[in-house]
Amino acid sequence: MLKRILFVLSVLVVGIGAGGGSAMLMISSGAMIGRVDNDRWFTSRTIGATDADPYTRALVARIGLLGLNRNETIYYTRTEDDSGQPFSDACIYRIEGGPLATRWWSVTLYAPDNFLAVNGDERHSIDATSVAPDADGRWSARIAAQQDGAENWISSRNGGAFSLSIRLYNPEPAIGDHLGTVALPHIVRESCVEGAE
Amino acid sequence: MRSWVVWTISTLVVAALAHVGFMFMYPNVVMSAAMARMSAQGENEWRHVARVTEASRVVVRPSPDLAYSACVYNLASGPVAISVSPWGDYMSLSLFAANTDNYYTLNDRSMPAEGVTVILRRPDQELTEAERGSAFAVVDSPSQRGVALIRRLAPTMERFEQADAARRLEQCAQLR
Repeated sequence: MLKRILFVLSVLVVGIGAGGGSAMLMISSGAMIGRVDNDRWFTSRTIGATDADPYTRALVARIGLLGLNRNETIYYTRTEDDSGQPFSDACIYRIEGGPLATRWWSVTLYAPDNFLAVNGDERHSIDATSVAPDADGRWSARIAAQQDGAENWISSRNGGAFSLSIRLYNPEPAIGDHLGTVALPHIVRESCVEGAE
Repeated sequence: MRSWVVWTISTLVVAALAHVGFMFMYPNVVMSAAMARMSAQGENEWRHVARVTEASRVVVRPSPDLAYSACVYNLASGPVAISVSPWGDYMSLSLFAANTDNYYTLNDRSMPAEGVTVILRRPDQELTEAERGSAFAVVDSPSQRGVALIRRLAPTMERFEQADAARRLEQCAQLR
């Protein structure tokens, strides 16, 4: 009898632990069945949608709760610069982009806890109304802990291993149809303080 | 069959069930916690969120360029009416079910310039002709509780203050 109880208990403990643990691992690693990669940015075809798969829904709950579906807004996120190095608040970056086929866009920096970095700078984002594009529609901004005279600046101070999100509100159908290939801003690492990666 | 084979198969089955169950429960648990935070002052009423700053900690990844108003609705006692004031720029009313799905969205380009009223109900809740006639849209909620969220583009303090004035005229309340 004791042997049978131990058998059932061990099956339940190990099974639930492995099942729950693997689920948390998938959620924390950003697994999305409908994931679409675009250079270093990623999004999902089903964020907010009623036909979202359970993995996308779980990820949305973790990092994008109350996100709109892609007919209204498309969200891309990235955690790495163009060379594939994770973002760090010890480094200086330049984000460069061109015209985006959308009614309005913004780029926002988030700390690893998925909230705005606590730094008192009040420069957490840039948007279509705050940057001044050139004649070709090109624009750029500095992402760094210090403004250092830059006109367009996103503060990464206290952002740690931060991430960036770009929001495309009322996107043209061309974006939704080409989520993986539409031209999105590039982010180049210019320098880092010594010893930082 | 050897006992270790039975143990392994049983454990794998339990693990698979736990994995699937956890995945399905997780969004509901997170949404439920968020609704509890948003409705601390009550359900079926707008909570006009202060300008997003680094101190904003209710919902992850908020946009500092938008003015948010949230209403945790509860249809247990009947339909809920939501009114939306006009805004001279991007704005949207979006409805979210208890499992996080964004099942309905209306933006300023798809609503009359003077604003709208939307009635939210469960599919089995009847409306009178007059009630139907008073609404721009009647929307069936897939869950008894959920969240109505209004976003207004307001990237500057001046625009935020204008948005704040506009949203004070809005309603999220039981229809009757």
